[in-house]
Amino acid sequence: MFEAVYIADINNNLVFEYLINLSSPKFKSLTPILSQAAQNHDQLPLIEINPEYFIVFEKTKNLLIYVLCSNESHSNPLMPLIFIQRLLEVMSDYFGTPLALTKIDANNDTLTLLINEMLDDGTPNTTDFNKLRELIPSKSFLSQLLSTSNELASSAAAHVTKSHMPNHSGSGAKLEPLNTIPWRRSNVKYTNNEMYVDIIETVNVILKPAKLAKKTQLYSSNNHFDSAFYSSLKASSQMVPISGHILGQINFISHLTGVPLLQLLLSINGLDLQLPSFHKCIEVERWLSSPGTLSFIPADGKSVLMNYEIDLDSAHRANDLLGLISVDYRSGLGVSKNEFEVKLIIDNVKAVSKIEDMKVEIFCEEEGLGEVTNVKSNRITHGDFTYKGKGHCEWNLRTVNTGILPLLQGTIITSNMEPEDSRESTPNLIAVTTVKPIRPEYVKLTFNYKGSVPSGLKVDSLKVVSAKGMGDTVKPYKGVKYITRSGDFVIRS
Amino acid sequence: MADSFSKISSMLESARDFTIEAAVSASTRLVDTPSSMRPKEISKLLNSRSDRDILSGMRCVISLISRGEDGQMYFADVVKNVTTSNQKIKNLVLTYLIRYAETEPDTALLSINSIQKSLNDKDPINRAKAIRSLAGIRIQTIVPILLLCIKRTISDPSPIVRAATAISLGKVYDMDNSTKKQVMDYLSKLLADSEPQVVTSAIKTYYKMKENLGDGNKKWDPIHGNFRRFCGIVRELDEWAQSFLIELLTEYSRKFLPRPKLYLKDSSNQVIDLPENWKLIPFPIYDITFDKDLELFLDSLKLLVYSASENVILSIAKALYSLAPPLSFRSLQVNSALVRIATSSKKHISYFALQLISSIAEQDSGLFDQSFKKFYVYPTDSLTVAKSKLEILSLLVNDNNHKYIVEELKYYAAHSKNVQISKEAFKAIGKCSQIAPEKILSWCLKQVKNRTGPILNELLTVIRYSIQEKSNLTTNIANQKEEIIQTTYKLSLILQDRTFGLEGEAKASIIWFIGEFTDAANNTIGPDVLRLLIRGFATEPEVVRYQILVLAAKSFSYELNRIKKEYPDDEIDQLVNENIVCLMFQHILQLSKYDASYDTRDRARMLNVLLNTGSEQAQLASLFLQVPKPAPFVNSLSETSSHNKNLTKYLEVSDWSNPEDLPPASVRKETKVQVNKLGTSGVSSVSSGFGNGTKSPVPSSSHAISSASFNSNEKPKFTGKQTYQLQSLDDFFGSDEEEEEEEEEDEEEQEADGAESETESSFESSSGESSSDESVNPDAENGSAQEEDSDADSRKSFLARN
Repeated sequence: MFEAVYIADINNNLVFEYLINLSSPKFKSLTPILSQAAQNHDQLPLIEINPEYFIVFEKTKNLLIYVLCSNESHSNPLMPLIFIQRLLEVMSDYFGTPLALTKIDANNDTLTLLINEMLDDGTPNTTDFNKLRELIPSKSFLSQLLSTSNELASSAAAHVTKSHMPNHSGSGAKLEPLNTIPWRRSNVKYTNNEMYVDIIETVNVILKPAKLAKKTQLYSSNNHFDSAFYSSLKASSQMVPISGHILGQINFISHLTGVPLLQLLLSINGLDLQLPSFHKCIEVERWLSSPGTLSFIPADGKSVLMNYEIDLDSAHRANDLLGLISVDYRSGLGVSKNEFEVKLIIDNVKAVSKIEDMKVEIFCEEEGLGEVTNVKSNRITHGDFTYKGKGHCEWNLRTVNTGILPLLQGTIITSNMEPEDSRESTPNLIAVTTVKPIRPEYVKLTFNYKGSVPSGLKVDSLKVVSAKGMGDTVKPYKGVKYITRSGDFVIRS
Repeated sequence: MADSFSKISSMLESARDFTIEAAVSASTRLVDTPSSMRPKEISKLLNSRSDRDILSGMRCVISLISRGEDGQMYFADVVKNVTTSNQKIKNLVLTYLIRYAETEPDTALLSINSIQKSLNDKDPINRAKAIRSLAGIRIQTIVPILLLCIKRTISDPSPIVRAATAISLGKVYDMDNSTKKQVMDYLSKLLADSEPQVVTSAIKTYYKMKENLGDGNKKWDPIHGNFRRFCGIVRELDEWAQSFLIELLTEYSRKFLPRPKLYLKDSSNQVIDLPENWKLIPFPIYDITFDKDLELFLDSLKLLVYSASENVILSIAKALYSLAPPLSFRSLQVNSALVRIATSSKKHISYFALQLISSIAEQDSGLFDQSFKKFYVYPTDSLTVAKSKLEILSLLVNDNNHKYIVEELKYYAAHSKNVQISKEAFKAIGKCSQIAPEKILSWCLKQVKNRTGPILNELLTVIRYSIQEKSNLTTNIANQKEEIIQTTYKLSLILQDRTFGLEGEAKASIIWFIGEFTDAANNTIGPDVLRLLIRGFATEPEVVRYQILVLAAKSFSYELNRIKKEYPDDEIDQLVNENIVCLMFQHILQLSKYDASYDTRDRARMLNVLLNTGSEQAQLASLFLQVPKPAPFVNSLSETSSHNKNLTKYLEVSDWSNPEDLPPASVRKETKVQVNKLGTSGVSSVSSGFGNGTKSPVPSSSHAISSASFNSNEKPKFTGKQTYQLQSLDDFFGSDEEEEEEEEEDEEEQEADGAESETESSFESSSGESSSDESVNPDAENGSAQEEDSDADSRKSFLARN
């Protein structure tokens, strides 16, 4: 099924290749096809080479990973993509994140061994990194030394005075029979027992301003000179979600000795989590009998315990589920109806101190009224405004505090618009009403913040039910983090 | 305090990164030396006495290979190191060997002996690696030896080794097809293994081999007896094997299980077989009965829909799509699972889910119409994703949601930046127009002025579609006619409006449109349009000229009929000749006879014969020209946007078998589970989610020693016929020892042969270890004496060749 794995940098220069046998093509021979396909961004991650072979690829920030597959058995079309995902997981577990080219290059012998285990006879074999850790000793001596000293430092930071080195199982003799939990490596030992839960929610939504009454529109267009005025016309115009969902993910980091059985209680608050998906370690029956209870023996290291989705279309109070940031957006304002206003309303919540990477992108494109040549900002309270060309502009606020009301007013200028001074000299009311409004096509918000999630999902408790091999007196350190991110947060005109 | 520590740790982190980079430069130093010097340097390292040098030499070789260079020149130097006791080096050497053994089979054979020795290693991981590498060296001559090794490892106490054996079996069969019977024998043993890990590997191998086993039903033999057990343990396999197994069992079910029956709950109370296509289910409310085994299989998937592996969900969807009606699909929540994947943030993966959803929605849209909003297009969606979403939306339209969907589609059509997307959106609107034609029609007419090129064509198709739908409806004729006339009139106005330059294609479509509805519009518009077009006939593009001709013919034919009906026969000729439409037609005919295009000239001649040779032909002409055309096939959306080929191929399944050919259900009577363990504790004692709830037969042991300590939760009990003889411990070790000795002898012989080459010294240390090995690795030998002989024979022949 799989014939070869290639890893290339973003410019399609080979970094690593693994061929399952000598007859598989080398990367060099495929380069022309691949570089041609790489230019085509909108394409499927699928390049057909000939009727028998095709390539599936995935692009990460600085890597291109290709898997050459044969077509004979018409097997599950998702398999190559999932395989690439597992490969990325394994690589980041072994070589650390973010995955840099130099790390792969320096460890290409380890990587060869890894893929040798992950693929056998062209079929995925052992792909779980917990199991691979048992099969292939992870790090070179030097980096192991450094990582232990690293852990030492962090253990000191956690005010734990014991100073045993964590014993990585790779080095120990494996005479005893291997642990039979498929997702957990055996003989895990830690000096500091720690576990962390991260709840990450990504908001995807398309919003639309509710239709304003005609009166206010006219009114506002008459008062075009006082641009501050129309923003205060109405405190907050209603936004209507057209479609949306929140994608939730519960990540778990486990540094626990032995084979502990854990129980994580979530307070769901009557949310409908649709059909969640669970890590292999979760007892699904338990969840079904009492929703909100996750009972599991964790995989060592990082794992995604659960993915869930909250449907905003069927939720009653969809607007309350959008998180801290709400938007007041108007367009088609001013005399030439080519002005717009974006006001962000960032609620003040105790748990969240600041919003990071806050960015508002405005995309304009008007076909009938000529090309958009420029977008000017008339008034801006926070951050910078830049025009990026092709009707795309960006209002970058970077990190902002909660509880503020940033505001942006801008004008879209198109190619066939009359010069400004002539417009100002003839403020003809009749003409104004017939002008077709020029609006941005859509506005996209990007942000992330820590401290709360829009759905209000919370970890009630995290208990160690049975701590086989850890000792009953050990109280592992627990940490919970809530992160909210924007996915596709789009406002239509 | 904590702050300073975190500082230190961050410093250390950067120090680590730095050292990693330093390590890079160290290992790349050799790789970067001039290529003329490099082989020498590397072979020096490989031939060194120090393990550290050898290791760095091996690292260089492997990293050269992974950079796409050829590593074959180091073959001899590398192979020599196979005897090393350092596991790290050994792993690298084995990896190298698997890759290059084919190029120098003779040299590669030298390593076999020492790999074989690793089969007696204490560490099961090393034993597993040894058997895998042995099979990975694809040299046909070693097949007999390999089979012999497999015979031992197949009953290794460690599941890791047995799993590796399962994988190796596939390679043996690849190398030598004549081993089929033996390999299948071994494989069915492993398929019935007690450990999920082993079954996992065995299923992967079986899945791969199945393709090459021909079409006969014989290849399914190992599955029969395991079917029910597989249903019980499917959740314990790894994600790949889960997919493979579900696909295998799906195919199995189509082949060997009776087709489900539907009991319709309508007035007829019919009982029907589950149709191939869900569309053919005549009534949406029904009861369903499954064969017991099929039900077991479908039930086993119930909890798997919570799996985090998307490929498993896809497999489940395929299984239900081909084995069960929509009702079961919904009750297992597969539709929700697919929607979940489709909305996930992994765009590439979600694309396949979207494709699958559109395939399924085509047959039963009801499964997804609840979540239609999930398929709204985001501006960041790629074209391919957007296309699939639009297609799904157009499939999901029904009376309840058309308001939302059409509104949404209109938005894409009007606002999308991508021409392709708006084109697709128009197509989708066309499909929706079945539900709410009026609004869509008037909206489309408004849009005509703003559009050009291919989008306009789509638009006109939509208009044509809605009009034709209307004219086909017989109810409320007067009303409909009024509307058709209005629409045609509006179009004719657009045609005459010179302010926006209509493209030839669009113009031709409108002209065709007017001609087509001559009858419906009582020929009120056609002649006038014709009058205006005649003047510019010569300057029009070819397609337009052709359509003008057709319009003239249609218009004339209508007039002809009208005159015939209204006036007595003797006046007809004169009236016709005076008729303005006739005159226009004759004029255009004249012009067309000298047209540059063959098509136009040809059609002109044909029409001339039909319409100008007396009134008898007129009847024929009107039949010919006014035949009702089928409404344009707007469903063509799926054809043009082409479902993903891989997915379509994937969804193909074999036909249900003829009920008479089915074997009795008793073939699925469970075979005995093969247990090969020495006192490892069962998983079920550790995790209650893992290993419980399986309906599999209770594993019984073939080893006397293991039965007591096995699986605390389940009481072993012996069921079924005894295919396996229980051995006493003495028997067991006794037979093993004999076998071992025999083998050692052979190995020594082999070694003597191998020693002829210059690598003599490195192979020496092997013979002393044999005595200790037996106690560590006791394995059961159950093969018949006959097999033993043949194995020994082939081994001899191999040695002779060597």
